[in-house]
Amino acid sequence: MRSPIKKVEDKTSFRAVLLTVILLLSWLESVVPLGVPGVKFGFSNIVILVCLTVYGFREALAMAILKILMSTLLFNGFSSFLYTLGGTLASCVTMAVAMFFYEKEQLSMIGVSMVGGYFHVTTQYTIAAYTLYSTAVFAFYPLAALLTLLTSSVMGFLAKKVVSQLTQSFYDY
Amino acid sequence: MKNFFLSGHFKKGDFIVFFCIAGMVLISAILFYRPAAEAKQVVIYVNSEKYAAYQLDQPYDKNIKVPVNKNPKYGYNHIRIHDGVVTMVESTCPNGDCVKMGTIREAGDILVCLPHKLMVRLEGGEAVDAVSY
Repeated sequence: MRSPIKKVEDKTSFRAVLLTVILLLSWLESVVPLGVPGVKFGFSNIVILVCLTVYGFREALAMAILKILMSTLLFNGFSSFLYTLGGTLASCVTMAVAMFFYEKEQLSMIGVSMVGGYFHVTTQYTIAAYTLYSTAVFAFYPLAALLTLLTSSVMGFLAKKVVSQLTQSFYDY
Repeated sequence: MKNFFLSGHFKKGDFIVFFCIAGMVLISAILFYRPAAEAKQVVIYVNSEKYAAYQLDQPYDKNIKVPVNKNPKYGYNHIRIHDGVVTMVESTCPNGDCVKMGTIREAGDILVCLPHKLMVRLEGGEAVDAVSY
């Protein structure tokens, strides 16, 4: 599964490109609202998924942490740092576990993305409930989780397209 | 044109994941479901402590500015109570999600501003006269 992309692994510049893209996408998702509080499109998840397939868990985690630090400084402000951190780390770790099934060809990218999106939204709502010391925030949770399921499957589909394009273009590189 | 769901985009595990998550969401929806009830009072919480409470069934138009952390220099949330509904009119928080949450009218409904640790909640039960803490 990973062999055609092996050659990309040496390219440090490609990681820089991915980091730039993830910052652009996280700006985009902070601008586009979705109506339900706590739900975003999750465009930056595409890059995390690409990172997981091309490089593996360690690089994806590094990418996620760099993204959190830079996007909180640039767009969100540190008030939302805890939610972003918790959500992104939870989704990154669970998607890495789901990648195990992806490499066995039991899951496609869409399933991996759905797992990540679900754990992202659940962690964020749990942290929000904990900071407010109230479970009242969970009133929005079912709607938010359903919407996240929808957007994350779309993002998984896009990530799949990106990975297949990368595989093709780097095959005889 | 081939069916999108059968054209190789999905694997068997995807459907398992989808139905597992959808099931868990359904269970949580049942757990957090509450029947619609008439709201009697508006309670404002700051830092998870009760900040103020107002009666809802009064014909007044009340504008409240809640300072962040009880100190106006950190910013404020502008809350408006009128005709039995509550709206977040303005907030100095960076993302403005609380303003986008719109209007609340039923018991149990909330307006939340996470950066300011502020929650406005409509509660049923016994109504009290306007009490400020």
